[in-house]
Amino acid sequence: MSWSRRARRRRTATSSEDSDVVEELQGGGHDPKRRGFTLQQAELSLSGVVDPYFSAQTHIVFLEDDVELEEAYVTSTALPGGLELKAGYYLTEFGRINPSHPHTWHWLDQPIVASRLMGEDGLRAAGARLAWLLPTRWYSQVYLGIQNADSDTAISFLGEGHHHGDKEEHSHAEDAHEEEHADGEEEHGEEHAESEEDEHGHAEEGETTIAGRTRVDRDASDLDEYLYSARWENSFDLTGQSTILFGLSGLYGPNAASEDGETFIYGADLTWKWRPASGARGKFLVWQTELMRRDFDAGAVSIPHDDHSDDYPSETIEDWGLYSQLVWGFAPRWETGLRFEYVTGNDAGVEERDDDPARADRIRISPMVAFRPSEFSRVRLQYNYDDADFLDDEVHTVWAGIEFLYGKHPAHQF
Amino acid sequence: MKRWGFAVAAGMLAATTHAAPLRVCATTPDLGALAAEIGGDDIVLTVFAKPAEDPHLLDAKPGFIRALHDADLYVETGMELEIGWAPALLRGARNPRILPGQPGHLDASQVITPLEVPQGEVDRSHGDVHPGGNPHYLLAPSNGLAVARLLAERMGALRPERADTFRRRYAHFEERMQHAMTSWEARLAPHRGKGLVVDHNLWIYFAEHFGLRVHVQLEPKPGLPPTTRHLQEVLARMRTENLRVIATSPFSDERHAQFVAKHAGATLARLAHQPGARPGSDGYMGMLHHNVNAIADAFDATARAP
Repeated sequence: MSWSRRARRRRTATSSEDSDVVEELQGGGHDPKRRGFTLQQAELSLSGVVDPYFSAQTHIVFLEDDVELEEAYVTSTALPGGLELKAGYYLTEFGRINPSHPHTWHWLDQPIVASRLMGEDGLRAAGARLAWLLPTRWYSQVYLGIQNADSDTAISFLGEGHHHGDKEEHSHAEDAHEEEHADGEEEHGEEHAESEEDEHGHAEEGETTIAGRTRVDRDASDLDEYLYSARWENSFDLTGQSTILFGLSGLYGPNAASEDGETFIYGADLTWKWRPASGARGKFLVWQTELMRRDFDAGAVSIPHDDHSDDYPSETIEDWGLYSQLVWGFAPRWETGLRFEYVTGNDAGVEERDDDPARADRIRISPMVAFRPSEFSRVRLQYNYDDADFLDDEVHTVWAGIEFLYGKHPAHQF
Repeated sequence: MKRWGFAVAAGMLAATTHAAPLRVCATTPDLGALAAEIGGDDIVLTVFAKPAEDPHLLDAKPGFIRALHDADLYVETGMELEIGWAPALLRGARNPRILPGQPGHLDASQVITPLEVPQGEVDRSHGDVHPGGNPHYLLAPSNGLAVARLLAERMGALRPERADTFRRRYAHFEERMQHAMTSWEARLAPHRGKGLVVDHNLWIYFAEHFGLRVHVQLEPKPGLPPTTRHLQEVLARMRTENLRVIATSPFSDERHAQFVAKHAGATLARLAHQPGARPGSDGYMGMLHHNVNAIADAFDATARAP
């Protein structure tokens, strides 16, 4: 009648590039980020039926020196009319990557556009959402949600950014390097060390938001100070062998750049999956593409100092990007894939965009090969080619990772 | 109470009244074929796994949630065959009628006697072993009959006004099955006691029903692909025990079986693990007919060979 689930997952990875450059490039909270070994996460998952009306899940992530709650929520099971209510602390259902956990991804790291717009650990917050399974002949579902906009991970809204370990809390844009990149000979290691010192003069650690705009204090109390989300997804079989899922997602909420600052994020996603009619084990193709755009509307702000004031104009800071990936199961237990990513934005805000790792134009191309000894373990090798405006040279990194799960059987994802 | 406040939404859904056809979701084609025998035109049937697929490794497709949401009856093989995908679907379907413990939730394995229930402690170092026993019980005709009877009873309980129709269809199905079983048993009678080599451990119930024995598996552990070393052991055993027939399923890579067959002078029997998994194996009885003939033909061929 009820099922409970206990599962632990561990992932570690290692790479070949200079550690400080790599840390800037690997924007996801659970990305492998250094030369050497990274324990990306050890996740403990619990789920079960609460009563005739609810089921619940909790996911706790252990890091080498930290523990964090990834998700904890209840879901209704008995609402009529195809409705489902979810409440608690959960990953916002926006697109394909954000609501899924890192161990379900095909690649070892998070897509750049997701790290930039949704935050390094993915956009998640306390809140509630209602989903409605539409009475259509095909699968069609609408999600409407409301969450706190000041959750740490809500970096495009009121969140201050979320970092692992004992590093100082500092905003996403703080990584934008103040230093000139004119001196191409300079060691990246030194550059990073110096950047720890405050060179802004006017902005302390943790006091800026997107594109170096200074944070202002806002109360998250009124109804318009929440984060609203909407998603509509559809799925049907194209042929006997292939199925598609496509969705449109939107987010709206306040941001910290001004009293009236507001952020819109839009996304579109398409997943196409093929399995042969022969039923041969391990043979499949999955193509997944996601496009996201953020309009960060920042109002005019004047911040007084002792001898001067910093004036910021009213502006819209735009960022957008996409990833497109194809994974091919070419033999039982073996799969290979290619991911292409591109991110860009407009020249607005305080930071020079070309120097801002969170906003500069960037292309990343990542081939990957994975071996699955069983349904419960996976070994991966991934190469990243990176061409980013904030770096002098193209960067090549190689990652190897191992992942395993034990406990209750995992659910197969579409 | 349940529909309170959602009159509009409920009105848009096809209202589930007792005059409406029974909506049945079956996880695998064999259960679907049996449900079709009993339900006929009185049910609307959705089958999740495709005939040739390994039903253990299915993806939880969003479209299945749509079908389960409207279902009056969910039928599964049980014994953890569907554990990788059915729980997530049942949770997402928001249909209390088909949750475990409800009349609309039917685990068909309740009416069969499980084989190969592991003794002692089992963990995943043993490969994909099912703690409840081997779940491929519908490959034996006697188990198919038991499940068809269970389906007739359960469908009748959910649609009492059609219970007689379901019973009558079952009686007709049983008559045809008994007749066919006599001829299938006769067809395999000359080969009673002979041993089979199998690629995946699918054929234990079939073998027991027809008095055959499953000796050797090409998989070193359930779900793990054959290794060269294991295949060498298989070849050695085939020689010493004079095993000459290899039963294959469509989802396993046939090259391993071909390699072994070539070196051991054995014959392949290309079997259908589900209705429709091989050409000419449609329907539940069609699947059994195909398998009986394929096995018997393979034994006949080895008898003629030197």
